[in-house]
Amino acid sequence: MNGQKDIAGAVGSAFFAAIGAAVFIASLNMSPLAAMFPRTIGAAMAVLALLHIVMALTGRSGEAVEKGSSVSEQAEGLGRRMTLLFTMIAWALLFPVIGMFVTSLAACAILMFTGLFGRTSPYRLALYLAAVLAMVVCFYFLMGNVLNIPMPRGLLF
Amino acid sequence: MAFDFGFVLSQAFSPFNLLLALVGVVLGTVIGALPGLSATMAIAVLVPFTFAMDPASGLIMLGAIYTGAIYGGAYAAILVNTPGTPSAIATTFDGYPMAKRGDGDLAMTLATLASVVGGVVGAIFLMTLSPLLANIALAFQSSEYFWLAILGLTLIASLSTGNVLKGLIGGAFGLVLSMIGVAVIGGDIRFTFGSSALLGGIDIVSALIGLYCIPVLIDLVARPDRHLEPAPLGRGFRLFEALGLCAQNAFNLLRSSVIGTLIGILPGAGGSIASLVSYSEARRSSRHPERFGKGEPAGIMATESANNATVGGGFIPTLVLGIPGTPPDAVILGALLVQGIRTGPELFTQQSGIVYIFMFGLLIATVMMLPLGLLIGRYAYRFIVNTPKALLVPLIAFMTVVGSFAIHSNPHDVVVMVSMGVLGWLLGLAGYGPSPIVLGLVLGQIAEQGFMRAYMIGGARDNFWGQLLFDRPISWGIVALIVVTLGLPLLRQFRKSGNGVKP
Repeated sequence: MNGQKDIAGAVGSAFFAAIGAAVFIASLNMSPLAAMFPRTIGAAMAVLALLHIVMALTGRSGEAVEKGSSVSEQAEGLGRRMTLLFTMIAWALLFPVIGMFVTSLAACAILMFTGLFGRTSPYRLALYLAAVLAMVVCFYFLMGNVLNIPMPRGLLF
Repeated sequence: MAFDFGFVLSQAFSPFNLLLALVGVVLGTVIGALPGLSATMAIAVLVPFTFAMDPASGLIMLGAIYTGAIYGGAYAAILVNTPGTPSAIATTFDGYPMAKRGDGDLAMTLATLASVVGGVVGAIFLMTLSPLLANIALAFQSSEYFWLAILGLTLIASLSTGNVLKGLIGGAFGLVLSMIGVAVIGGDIRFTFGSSALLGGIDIVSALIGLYCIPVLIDLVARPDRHLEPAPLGRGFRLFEALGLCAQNAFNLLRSSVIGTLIGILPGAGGSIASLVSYSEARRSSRHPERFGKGEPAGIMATESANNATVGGGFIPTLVLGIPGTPPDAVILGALLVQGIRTGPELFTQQSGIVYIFMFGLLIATVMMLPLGLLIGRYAYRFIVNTPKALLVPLIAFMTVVGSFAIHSNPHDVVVMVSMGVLGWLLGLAGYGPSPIVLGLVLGQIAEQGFMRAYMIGGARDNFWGQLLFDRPISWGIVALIVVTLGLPLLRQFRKSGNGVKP
């Protein structure tokens, strides 16, 4: 209890309360054996979340051992964060269509630039790009040829 | 023991078998350190090679890979805040904060020492008390497994100091995620929203990689500062410092190893719960519980000794009862059957030679982890510290994508990984940590099976609550632990409020 209102926590709990209620309602259309557990857990989650909303809004919410960055901390480097997020989403959706190697190379190059801070000499940049290429080639070879995992080749490869 | 002890030793310590143990530990450690590449995969890939070896050599190598892979999970947990396996979840709590403040070298050395201690204790229990301890696994029935899963969730919730509710809600959300797909009992298709890709449910390792790794990556690209603080030069392995800490925490190490072995015996639930119980117990009995979660060495020692002790513990039901506790145990059980070794109580009388060579091999592999782990750990830490962010970000991102794809060679797992990562990041903003969610997902099926079996048996007897709780003394014990686990933080909170102290 730190005496401060935990608005972000209350929003999170509202999300969980909604999920709990949705699970409970969905369980009403299931067979009795499949419904019992979701109904119990959905109801418990909704009740706990509602209880937490009350605690969060009355400043009785405590601190967790592990927690993410706060909303204000996330404002720093928001553009880079969003670039990473959209690159990962596009990578996950496109690699079965275009091919694992090409999408991985493109995504890793974008992420490399996203992780660059300050001025970088052309030599260093070329070195980084070569390292990214070597990394993709090595992992692709390890997965495809050593561990025999069929890598999606897609439209390109 | 009706076997030739001299023969067993000569076989276990033969140069070829020692070499196999060495190769197995190195391969296992490296594979275990890469998120997504699991001990199961390492063993499954290498099993065919062991068919050409004599049974003892093949089993020694498989055991070495397994123990190395469980230990290797600590690397990613400490250096990248991503547990390679659910059993390394609690290692992230103190390992990553230590690495962030520049004590990653000490954290790695402590993890190595603790893993060796845990592995040795587990192997000794395996060699000496297997048939006796296997009875514990048999004593647990469906309702006990349900309560055990709930204990795991309450333990992790109670680690959210002063915010048990958030932990419980996160755990319940994990349980909901575990319900996606075909119902374990009843067979209904649940919460798939018409998508055939969700029929198989959410893969635990994909979710684990996403929930832990994506938020780390998002934070990594936002700031120009280093990912981890570099250790000052000339500190070496910090072995003597680590040994001193181990000596101070000797009881913690021993207790965590015994907890790991005993809980590791229980099929399915073992690894993840064992490390949490040990961590929770280390924190409860510590003179400085407030340091836990902020880089406390005792936390790493507790979790790493416990999760490596589960290797030996997990082999007890596998060898004595033929019930594999974990997926790697199941693969090794398959290899045993191919080699013509029949598991069961008679294994210890009729084929005791091979089984004891295997157990000694496991012990040797565990001891080998000490020099090998110290070396690999040191270079892994240096590599992560010295690699510029421009290379570290694509490297980790690429490992998350290929790692989650490699689990089932299914692109859907990568989509799940990224989706869970985005969700984990958003929930992190609201103060919800990933561990309760992952643990709920891991324990969901065990909890549902236990709950529903108790429901069905209790329904047939017209006594559901009796079956779930009142007729089972082991259930009483676990429920009492749950009450204590949930009650203590609340009591502490009330006391502090009463004294006018802000927790």
